[in-house]
Amino acid sequence: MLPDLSGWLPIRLDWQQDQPMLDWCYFGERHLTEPFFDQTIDVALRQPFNLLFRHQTPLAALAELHDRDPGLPPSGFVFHVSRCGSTLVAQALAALPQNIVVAEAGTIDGVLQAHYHDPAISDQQRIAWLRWMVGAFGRPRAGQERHLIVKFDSWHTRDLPLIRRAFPDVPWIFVYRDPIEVLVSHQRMPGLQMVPGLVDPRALGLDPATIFEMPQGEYRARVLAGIYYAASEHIPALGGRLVPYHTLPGAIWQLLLDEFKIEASAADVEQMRQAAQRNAKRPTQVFADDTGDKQQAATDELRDLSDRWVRPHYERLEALYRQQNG
Amino acid sequence: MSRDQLDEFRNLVLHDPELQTQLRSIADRRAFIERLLQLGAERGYQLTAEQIETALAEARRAWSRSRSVR
Repeated sequence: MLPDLSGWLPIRLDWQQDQPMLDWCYFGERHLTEPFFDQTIDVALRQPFNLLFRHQTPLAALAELHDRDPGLPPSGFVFHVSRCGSTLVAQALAALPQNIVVAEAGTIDGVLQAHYHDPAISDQQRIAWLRWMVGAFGRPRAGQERHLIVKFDSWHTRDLPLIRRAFPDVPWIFVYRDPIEVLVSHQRMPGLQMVPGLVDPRALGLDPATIFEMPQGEYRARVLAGIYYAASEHIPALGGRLVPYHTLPGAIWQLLLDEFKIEASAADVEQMRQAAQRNAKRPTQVFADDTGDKQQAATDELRDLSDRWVRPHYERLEALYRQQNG
Repeated sequence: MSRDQLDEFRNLVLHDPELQTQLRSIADRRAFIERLLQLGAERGYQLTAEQIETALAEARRAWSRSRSVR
């Protein structure tokens, strides 16, 4: 029988004897305000109770939870290329207590990558798991929540067709910027996907046999290329809105609220503006457009890699953006 | 004084919302352990502070290993 999971959220998907199991942590009414869900978990785990007491259930138990309490239907999804302002978007939305913003939750990634662990897992199974998992996050815990927004990992852009099958009516955006600036950021502090082997290469569109052989710079450019390519392929067919970095933060209240049908008062917008003034990943610092700094820091080698692997897809996205904005 | 006692008590707490409420809000580690020992003793569980410290440290390490940088 399913335990009482009111106030509990799934924090980890773990495979035990080939069975997917979920660890749950108690969050109570706690609003998810940290830049990434992992950081919210870090905060929750400062409480000794949360370290010692975790429910563990089979992943399949989400079906029962979903039947009992399906959660809010998602209002919008955020896809992105990483290091492009998407965390700023998530943080501004999370500034409003009526929004549940789930940012790059590992359990959602685990569901999307489940078929790499067990090839017998069908798309249909992953679609069901994804709906249930998103629903588990969408259960209001404080009572004032009205919207659920999911910010996916950057590589989930490649899973857009499956995610659309799971949620055909949920509006989505794709945040992106000049790839050279993204590559500079990853050069300074590589993200998970930029370290070979930390994300299953198949999820990144790469051949597992080659990832440890190619030069680091090429690996990073190709990971990024896979994401830009996927967006440029899927946007015409699946209908997402493009949000370039240079339109932030204004696009959050000028475009996104409409797109996701989030009603916001003038005070709400002001609250989001305040949140957007902070550096999204380092909230003690002020947000500043760092395009110039990153362009200056780009080496010729990095530019060559960007031009060779990513820029053609970026230019296609730019053309699509111009089409979308008349 | 086996680890089984702690595991059994953890299971009991996980299915008892009232006990959970008594423990959740304690932020101080030492106070938490003392309260846990007391609640356990009241229910016949022989727990030790050392056992609980070890379990807390193991849980911390397990999460740190699975955590990712994005």
